[in-house]
Amino acid sequence: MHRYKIAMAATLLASAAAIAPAAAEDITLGFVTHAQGNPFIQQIIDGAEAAAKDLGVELEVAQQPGSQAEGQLKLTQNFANAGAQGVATSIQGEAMTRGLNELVEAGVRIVQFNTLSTNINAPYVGEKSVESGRVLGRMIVDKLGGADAKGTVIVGICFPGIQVLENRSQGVQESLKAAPGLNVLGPFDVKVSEVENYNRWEQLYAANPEAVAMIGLCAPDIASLGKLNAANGDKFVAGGYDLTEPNLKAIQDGHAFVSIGQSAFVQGYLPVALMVDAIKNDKPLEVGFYDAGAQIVTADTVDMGNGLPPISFEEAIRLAGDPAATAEYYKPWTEKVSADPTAGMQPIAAEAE
Amino acid sequence: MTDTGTAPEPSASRRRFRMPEETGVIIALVLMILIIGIARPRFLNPINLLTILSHTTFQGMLAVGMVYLLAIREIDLSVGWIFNFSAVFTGLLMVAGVDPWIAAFGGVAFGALLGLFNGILSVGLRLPAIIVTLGTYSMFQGLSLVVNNGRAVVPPDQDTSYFNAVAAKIFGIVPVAALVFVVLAIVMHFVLHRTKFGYRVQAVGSNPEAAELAGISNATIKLQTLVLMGAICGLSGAMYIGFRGAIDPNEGSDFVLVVVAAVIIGGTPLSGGYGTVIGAVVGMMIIQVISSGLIFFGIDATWSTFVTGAVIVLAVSLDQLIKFQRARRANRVKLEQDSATEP
Repeated sequence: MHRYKIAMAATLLASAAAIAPAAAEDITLGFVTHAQGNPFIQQIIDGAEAAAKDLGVELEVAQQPGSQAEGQLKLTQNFANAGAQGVATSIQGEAMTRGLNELVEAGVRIVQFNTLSTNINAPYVGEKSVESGRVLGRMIVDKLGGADAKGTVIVGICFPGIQVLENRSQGVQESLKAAPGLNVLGPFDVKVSEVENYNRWEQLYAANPEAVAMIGLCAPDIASLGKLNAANGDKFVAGGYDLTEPNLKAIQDGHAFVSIGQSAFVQGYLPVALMVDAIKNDKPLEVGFYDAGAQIVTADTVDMGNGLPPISFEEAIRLAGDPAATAEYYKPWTEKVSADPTAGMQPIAAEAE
Repeated sequence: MTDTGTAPEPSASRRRFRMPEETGVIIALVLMILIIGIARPRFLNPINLLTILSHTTFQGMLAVGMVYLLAIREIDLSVGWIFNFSAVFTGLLMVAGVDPWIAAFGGVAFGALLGLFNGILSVGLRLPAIIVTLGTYSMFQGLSLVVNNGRAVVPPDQDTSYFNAVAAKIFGIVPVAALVFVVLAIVMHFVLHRTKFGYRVQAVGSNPEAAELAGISNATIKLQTLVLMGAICGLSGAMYIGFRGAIDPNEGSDFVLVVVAAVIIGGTPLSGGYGTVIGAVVGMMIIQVISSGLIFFGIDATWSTFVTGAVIVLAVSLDQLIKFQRARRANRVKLEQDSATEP
């Protein structure tokens, strides 16, 4: 009888442990990215690792080179099978939908970041993609002389078909319509690898030497356009995305005009914070959109978004290559987020507004 | 006068028992699974092992077809895009309202047609398939992107028998798609080693001139093998869209290296004349086990690429070591026989 009671107590204890919310040190999370050796992706990873350190959880990162949906899904499933309670992943295609939804149903906390599918039953942390495109397009139009601007504008996209990039393209083209004299060509496929990216832009410029502006929608574009502009006497206005060191250098040197940042640190930090919050409080993650916030950087102004204190251009360059300094700079934001990571949730449709 | 009956007994027994060619890679795979499993017992969970098998499925099918091509000293670089284009074709037929089963058969036939195109160019122009498919790689990619408008193809009604069958799991754990892959591999193994076509494939790869003199048309075998490769890509593509419910514009673009790597790891030589389907399947499993093992060990992402390559080199080295030992033993047996049969 005594042995029976001990067995009962042990069973109850084990059950209680199973249903009790996990302590931070017991939490293991996976983080899957769609590129390897990419400075922008590395900034996202830095953000995720900063969150893991702040929140005291274990984070493992896997990178799938070449933006392959199938490969990313496999890595996510491997993390789940290895015991990760949550996995954050960017979404490289609809082929990931079914597999990720199965994981969500199985109780694994999934968060999408950087790129999304609205068919996946998981929250998304990223930029307002159409709106960021509009901002970029408006700045280019203003730089070209406003509504009276004339000439050829070339738009390049590194991954045709990726929803977020198509949304940016849509936003850019909407804003360019404000100047009816602009002849917009593209979007052309300019590829993501740095070598191919530069070659594509070079060919586009060779075919359209009269171009007054060239706009890229991905991280490697500004660096490529900066080099191209430098080699051709800075004849066109170059604009694009992401605050990587090469991009900021191109702006600093006067070969590129503007870069729209999408708060890489936030795109890494917030998914981890959301997963930890859901696991600790034993609750599912609601489908919704978390705006990572847009950053606007020209040689004259640096707006880091998210209500963060203003910084100089030199500081922006330093932060781009220094994860510890970036984490320190974001401290006021991370403290606010740690209190309630879900506070900024919006309907998923807000992403494309 | 020679007395063969006096040959030493141990040599005769060794001759009777011949280890399969794939022994080395199978040992490498089992060792990897055991090492990872001992360090991380969760790895040996049947659900995880079946997940790895399902991860092997679609690229593994392509590897099975590639064995035949390597056996005739050819490589098809366009396999990833035949896979993609066939899946897109299948998906677009489904979007157009064609019954999914018929659309899937259409996808297989379409893949075979693309393979036929490769074959006609290669045979007609007397060019190695690697050169022809270097061009058709981009042609198929470009055409696929044109017809899918650079967007994912997602069939609208996925609650049909086709999608349910392909995505089903027997007893809730064994994926039907993985079973189809296993059946395909078994069939292709027997075709290669037990049929006239299989013997001809190996004969052409072993010595094309001798095969031609023996009445085997190298051109016909090459054409048939490229069509077979295309049909397998079509099958893989048609099943992929049933399994995942969508095909993305870029999917398949990185398949060829993995597929060729799996075939070579499995023991099929680039020099042709021989092929092992089982080896290719094991080779693909080794690649997937490494990928999964890196996650289980929590190896830093920046190190994972190096580790993947290093483990592949180790696996191939182990295989070569076993083959070397086997060749040495065979030589020793032959020497013993020769000395025993000398007057």
